[in-house]
Amino acid sequence: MNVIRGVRLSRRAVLRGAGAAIALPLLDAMVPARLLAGEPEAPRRLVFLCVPNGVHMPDWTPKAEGALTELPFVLEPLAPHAKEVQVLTGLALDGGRDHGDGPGDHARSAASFLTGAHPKKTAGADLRVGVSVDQVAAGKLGETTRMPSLELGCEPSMTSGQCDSGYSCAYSANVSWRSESLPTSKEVDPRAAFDRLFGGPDSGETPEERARRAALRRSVLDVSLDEAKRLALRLGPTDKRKLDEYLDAVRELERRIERATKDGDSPLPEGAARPAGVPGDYAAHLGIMCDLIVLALRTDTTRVATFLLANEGSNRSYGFLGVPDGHHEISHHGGDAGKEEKIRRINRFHVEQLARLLAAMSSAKDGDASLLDRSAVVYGSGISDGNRHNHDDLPILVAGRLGGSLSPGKHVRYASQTPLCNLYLALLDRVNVRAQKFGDSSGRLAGI
Amino acid sequence: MRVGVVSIGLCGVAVAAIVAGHRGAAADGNDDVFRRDVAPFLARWCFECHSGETVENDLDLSKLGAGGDPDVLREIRTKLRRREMPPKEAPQPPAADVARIVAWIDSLPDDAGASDPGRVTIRRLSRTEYRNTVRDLCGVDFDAEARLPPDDVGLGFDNIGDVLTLPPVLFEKYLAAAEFVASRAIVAEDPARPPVRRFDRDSLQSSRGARRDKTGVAMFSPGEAFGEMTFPRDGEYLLRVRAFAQQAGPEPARIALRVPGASDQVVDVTAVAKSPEIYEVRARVAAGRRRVAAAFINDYYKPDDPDPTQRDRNLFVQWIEVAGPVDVRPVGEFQRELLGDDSKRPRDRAFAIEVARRIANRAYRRPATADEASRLADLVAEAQKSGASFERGVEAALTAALVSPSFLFRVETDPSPGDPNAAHDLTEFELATRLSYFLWSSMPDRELSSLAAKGALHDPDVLAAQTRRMLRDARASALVTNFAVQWLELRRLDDVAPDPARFPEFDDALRASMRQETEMFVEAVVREGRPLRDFLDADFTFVDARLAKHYGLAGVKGDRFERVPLPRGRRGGLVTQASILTLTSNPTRTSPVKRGKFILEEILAEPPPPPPPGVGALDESAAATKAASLKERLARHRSDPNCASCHTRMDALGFALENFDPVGAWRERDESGPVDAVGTLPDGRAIDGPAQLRAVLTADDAFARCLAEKLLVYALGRAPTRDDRRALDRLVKSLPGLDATFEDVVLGIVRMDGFRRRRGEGK
Repeated sequence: MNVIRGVRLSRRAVLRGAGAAIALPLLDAMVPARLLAGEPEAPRRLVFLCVPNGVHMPDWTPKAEGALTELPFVLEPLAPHAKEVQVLTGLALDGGRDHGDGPGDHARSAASFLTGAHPKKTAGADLRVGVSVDQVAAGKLGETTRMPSLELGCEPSMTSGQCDSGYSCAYSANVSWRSESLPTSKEVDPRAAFDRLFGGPDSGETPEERARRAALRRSVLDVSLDEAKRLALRLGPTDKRKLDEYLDAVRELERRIERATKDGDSPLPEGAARPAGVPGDYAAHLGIMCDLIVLALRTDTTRVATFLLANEGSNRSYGFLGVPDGHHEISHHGGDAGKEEKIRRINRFHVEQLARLLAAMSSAKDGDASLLDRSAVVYGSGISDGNRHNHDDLPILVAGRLGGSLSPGKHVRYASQTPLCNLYLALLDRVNVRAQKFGDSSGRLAGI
Repeated sequence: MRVGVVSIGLCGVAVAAIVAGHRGAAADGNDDVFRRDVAPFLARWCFECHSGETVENDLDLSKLGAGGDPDVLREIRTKLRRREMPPKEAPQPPAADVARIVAWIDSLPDDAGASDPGRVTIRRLSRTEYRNTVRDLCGVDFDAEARLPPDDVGLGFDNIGDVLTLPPVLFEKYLAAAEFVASRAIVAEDPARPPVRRFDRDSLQSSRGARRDKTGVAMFSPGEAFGEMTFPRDGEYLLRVRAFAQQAGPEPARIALRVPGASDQVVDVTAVAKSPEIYEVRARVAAGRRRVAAAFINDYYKPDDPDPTQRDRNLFVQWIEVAGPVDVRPVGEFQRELLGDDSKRPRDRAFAIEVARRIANRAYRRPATADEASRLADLVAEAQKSGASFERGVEAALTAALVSPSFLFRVETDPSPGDPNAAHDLTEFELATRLSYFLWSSMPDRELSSLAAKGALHDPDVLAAQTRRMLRDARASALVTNFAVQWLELRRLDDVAPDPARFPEFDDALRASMRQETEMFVEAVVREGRPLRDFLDADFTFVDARLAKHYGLAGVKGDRFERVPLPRGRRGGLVTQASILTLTSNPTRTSPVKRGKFILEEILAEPPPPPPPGVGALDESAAATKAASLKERLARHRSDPNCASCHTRMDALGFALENFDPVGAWRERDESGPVDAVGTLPDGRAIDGPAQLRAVLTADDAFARCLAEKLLVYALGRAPTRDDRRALDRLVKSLPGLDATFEDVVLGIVRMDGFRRRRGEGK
């Protein structure tokens, strides 16, 4: 299987997944005219990757602070990028703790991971957590791109049964929240994600036909808006909130159509082929989703992406790693060495996916730097030890230089219980989103 | 700490009800009984844990005033009757006292007076409902599973109004779906003026042997010029190519026009450079993205030919064009009904409004307003103004209707949306809609709509007759494929991954057969009007050869499912079917806990509270597994009083199924020896194996109550309110226990106030 790997990536490098291939051209060739015309500063990009069930910390945390010379077992796959990675130890996610709500750490940790908020315990009615950091960033970084943000995953929200101890499945299955009550919803089908990014298969329309269709779409959406506004007048408060979601969605789509019309053709790279659908093989699925992130960033279709490698609490079996047991089941290892061995193998496998992503991003040119130089990739989990469900001493790392505003290549130990949100606040600063506070932040994380 | 005092099953709702105060279910005489008998009983046997500063499970029984909250009383009755409370370690009340309290609670009169019907949040159509609705609205088969994301689940179902969100990404998909559905529902093509797609110098691609030059693609050796496009539908298309050749040799240059799926069509290209010509063929092409190619198939090269003009044959393609579809697609019934038969009728505004109203009346499941019809008709006019046909405009109007909030949401309105006390009947159309989505997961049909238009549906006899009619309709299979599949968590079967090393016999075919067995079984019990008891204890099931082998049943061959009798003892009823046994197991072993929990949640509607924080999980290390059987390890787990109160009952139910392995096959031995399938209930009764488990599950009407509650949640898309629960109690009391049928339960539900009425919302 051809995959993105640093040196092998050339202009005609072909990414394969499930029989589909995406060709990656050079970014320069793809940069929309308005970019070349020169935004004052090279754009910065944020990517968030979240893994479920915590990480086996003894195999994650580097022994010494300072330069990343020796990588623990789980982080070993990052060796080629050790200079681009910083491991941040000691961060905590208070929103994931129970605060008197009892069990449900998995649901809480996912809901809280990027929002820093404590989710309301509910099996359904009135979801409430907070706006996630990627969405806050997208408010700024997404102003000029075709899509404000991209949300990917590999597992759909569970379609029956209970997810976690009285928490709605929406919490376990989403890390990106558009409003405090509305998850952005993630795409798990690579083909559907590709179509969203690049406007679907070429329908063979002429520019005139396309313009006509865009005009018609706008008229259709006008009708939708009118009707929704009229309907809202007759509804009670809860129903009105549902209708607000509708109105927000229609307006967002109008903006996208507007932008597509203004910016002309979709930036689909020449020769790029649509992925075939969801690969049966999990590793291939992860790979193609990472490919899509790179493609979306390289073409400047979006500057913000989140990727949930598996839903929080996932009990997926990793037979191909020699771990036929369910991930969640064995994350409650109870100190058993055999289980810890299996857990760290899963953890390392996930980090291998990150390494692939970093390889592709560092070999992708973005003007006079690499895509990774311009980006920050946050990787981690809202649970530390899956056996204990603790939400402090989290496994968190940041890769990339975010346009020279980060100094990677080190391991930093922060005071215990330093809010993870301090990291987010520091990152938001660096993408020109001025906020005094995010989630439970107590300041801006220094030393990154 | 006080030992063993965590009560189970008293869910937060009931607790909240006490604290919030209560209306008192009992009449005055009962108040006296409560003060004289019940209160002292509770004080003596329950208050130690359930009163004072630190109350177990937030349940303070000292606040249970005269009369008593019926929900709490009902829970007390259940706990007492099952002897789950007071806990085993605590002093036990005399059996006669318990019996007296239980009998008194059972004798409390129903409070059948005016009840609060509650309110239902406007419900976005679920993916299944969307698919069925567009099928019934305009006859279009839409693959919603592939094109729409799954819906979030709450309360075990994916049609819960509060849980169904509408993020922008989903709305995008709705718009694309609407365009797709409308383009298939309305024939708006004009075969005389088909859409044309041309690949010219800029857009033509070339294979090896060909190369692009300033006029198009030049082929000096065998090769192809091609483009890729999406063919909108199966149909006939004209393929044209403008080409010329440098001729040489005995025959003219030839090209094959090829589209995958159609046979090559060969044409002679006799034209030469100064006068290129257009060559056209007609081809049937299937819908989808395909490559359209012109291949040079008779290259000729004879460098030693004395005549220099006869040495080399080359082909030049300037452009390739596809026009079509050019065949006439038959107009469907939906379009005929919209537009009528009079093709001479002027395509004017009056007609557009009439058509728009017909669309909206059906799509919005209620009479459209003049405004709504007029807005949709505007789209027809706009299309016509841009030079498109009237039909194209109708397609646009249908698209707009399909993304309208009145279509995507099941809207119900209140005369006073802000007044929670203003209870009222649903409108007739709202009632028709609730009924059809409950029974069919789809929109009302014409019969139902016309009864609503006449204002007849609130008549109890009409409502019952319609319910019966709809249950007999083929569309009622949605109660199996949508309701039962979710109730029984069968979708999770897609995700289970039994360890292939231990269970090599498990594969996707067996997975599919397992699910089908359960679906066919439920359908049979529902359609044949069999007693509810059959769900738990039936002497038949459905198997194909694969599943028959898995079950050790002889005599079934092939892929077809057959109804087979079951020998007494092992299997019979839902919880002994391989589907449920598998989805409640871990990849490498059975989980009596998960199986017990499934029974509590889905069969008895007594969900255990989640485990308290900090409890240890089961020790599954190799050493532990060797040293003690699963049963012994679970017993150790239960010896922790924090765990015991829930696990005693849960594990007992699961143990009785230990003869079924993690993929539901019968076994006599497990990893640690002969199977021990005995579980002990809190009251000391032992359940030995599946037959005795069936006896326990069918001993009372708990299952009827459970099924009724699941159906109510599914029908209303919200959690049951206090008044709903009382109505459910009354309903179950009125039924002949487990001899009742599925239809009996459904009829009871559609009669409930919660189903037929609604109210406004407080601030």
